[in-house]
Amino acid sequence: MLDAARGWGVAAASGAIFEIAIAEVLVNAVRHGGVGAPGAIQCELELTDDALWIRVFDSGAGFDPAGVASPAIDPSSPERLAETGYGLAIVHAVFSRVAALRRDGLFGVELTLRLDARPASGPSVS
Amino acid sequence: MTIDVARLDGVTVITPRSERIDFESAPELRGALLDAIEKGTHNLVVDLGCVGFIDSSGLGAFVSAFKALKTRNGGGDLRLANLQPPVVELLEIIRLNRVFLTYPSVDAAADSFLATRH
Repeated sequence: MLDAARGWGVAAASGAIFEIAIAEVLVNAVRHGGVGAPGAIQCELELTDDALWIRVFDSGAGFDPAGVASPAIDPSSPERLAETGYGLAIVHAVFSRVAALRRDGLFGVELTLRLDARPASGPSVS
Repeated sequence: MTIDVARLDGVTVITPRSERIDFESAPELRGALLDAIEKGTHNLVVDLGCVGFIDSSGLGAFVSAFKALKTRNGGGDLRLANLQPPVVELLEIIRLNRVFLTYPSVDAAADSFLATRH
């Protein structure tokens, strides 16, 4: 997925934070849906004139990423610092839009990376 | 993942010898950090000179140790040294740079404890 994004010349997609965000989405899919079932996790990339679209589907129960609050960061209250939940915060920080999807009985998430430049359109990859 | 643990003038320095701290290796790092705290360490430095990739599991390990230091042993702190640019960027976007003090070297991080030695 990273190679495809880089191959399309998506400059923002070559950053380490982008890689971390993609890893967070994929690890979440493996943890919460479809472990061990062939084809249970499906990934798609699509490059349009102004955005990179990434869709990851799994056979888990799904969740609404918009409904998950990012961890509160208050160094003066260390006992209240969250030890989990940073993955989705990373994803929200990298992508312009993070939305839930459902298709063919699978739940998924669609990530949209708006592009500053307008590279040539590329193919879809599944 | 190999993790080096060293004592340096009252400071425990934890050095993960891996390029990545992710969901597979983070539990081991968390264990090393909490083990040092259980042994009475107040002043912890994590040398991230080898690390170019940290995911949310790794961040969680740091937060676990930070909370343990603040709530056990009468206080303490976890400070980060030798951060590579991607790690700096990650801390900034998650705003954990408000929680963890960072230093350009292990020596600088260790020296920072001198004024607030526990």
